[in-house]
Amino acid sequence: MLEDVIDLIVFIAFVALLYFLIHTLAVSPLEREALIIEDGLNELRYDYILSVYLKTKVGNETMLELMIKAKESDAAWERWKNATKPFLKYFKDTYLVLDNRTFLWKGDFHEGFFKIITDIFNWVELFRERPLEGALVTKKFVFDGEEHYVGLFVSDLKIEMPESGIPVIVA
Amino acid sequence: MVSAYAIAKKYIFWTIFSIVLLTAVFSFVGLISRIKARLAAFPDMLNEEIIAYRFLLGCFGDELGIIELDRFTNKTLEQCYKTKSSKDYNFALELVNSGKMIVGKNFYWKEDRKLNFPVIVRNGSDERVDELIIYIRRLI
Repeated sequence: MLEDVIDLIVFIAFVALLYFLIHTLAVSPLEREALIIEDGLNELRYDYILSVYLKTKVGNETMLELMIKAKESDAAWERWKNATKPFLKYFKDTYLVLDNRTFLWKGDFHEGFFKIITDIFNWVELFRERPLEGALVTKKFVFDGEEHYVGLFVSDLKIEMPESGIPVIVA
Repeated sequence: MVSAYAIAKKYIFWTIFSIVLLTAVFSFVGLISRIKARLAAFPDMLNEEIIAYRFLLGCFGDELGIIELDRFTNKTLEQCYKTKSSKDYNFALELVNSGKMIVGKNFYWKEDRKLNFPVIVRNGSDERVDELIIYIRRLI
């Protein structure tokens, strides 16, 4: 009787091992491929959305020009906010950064008390330079002879990003 | 002579063995069908989205993301993406703020998926931001 039980246990273990092996060899690469495809499509989608967003006209200016001004001017910031409202739904769970300034934080305007907190974080970080490494989409522009970088980070990317790419640190 | 105990033991063993074997067979069949489903599902998503991008990249306008309102017609859609039957991917497009919708000739019933994109709608010299909804009907 004991021998039969051992035989059965060995058989069950063999079948389980076989199942696990097939699952690992066949399904896991597929899941990885699926994630890569999904993230590739995400990148394509956000690249398009950002391109359209930045070239949208607000009066005589493009959104990009308005953002550059909004870095320095409160009035321009308010104009930028009004112009950006129709786009907010496309930027859910994203962080929009121009040069060293965060404009959107998880799809909402980055201002007020929350901005003060993140500014303190950056000060504590001893003004370390944080390039836009890790951004899903990065775009470079030259405006009035100066280079500007726009980066879009997505918080729910399934593929791991490098440590230095965590958007929270960006000013 | 074989004892009643030995016969009973044999029956119990084979009963349990059969149950385990059946479970294993069903698990493997399930696993294979899952693999097959995944192999088939992703190309669908990829295909339809890649096709959908052509509507944003110069189908109804000459620049990325720009739609000339007078070119946003069923005829342009048909020229831009021809379908023979419902066995192709079929699309219907709606400009939400402009209140205009165009439907591919083989787009039937309800959509399987929809994608929302911002677009700039140009009507003469007037430009405004709009939302384009792309309704996707998969192969029937």
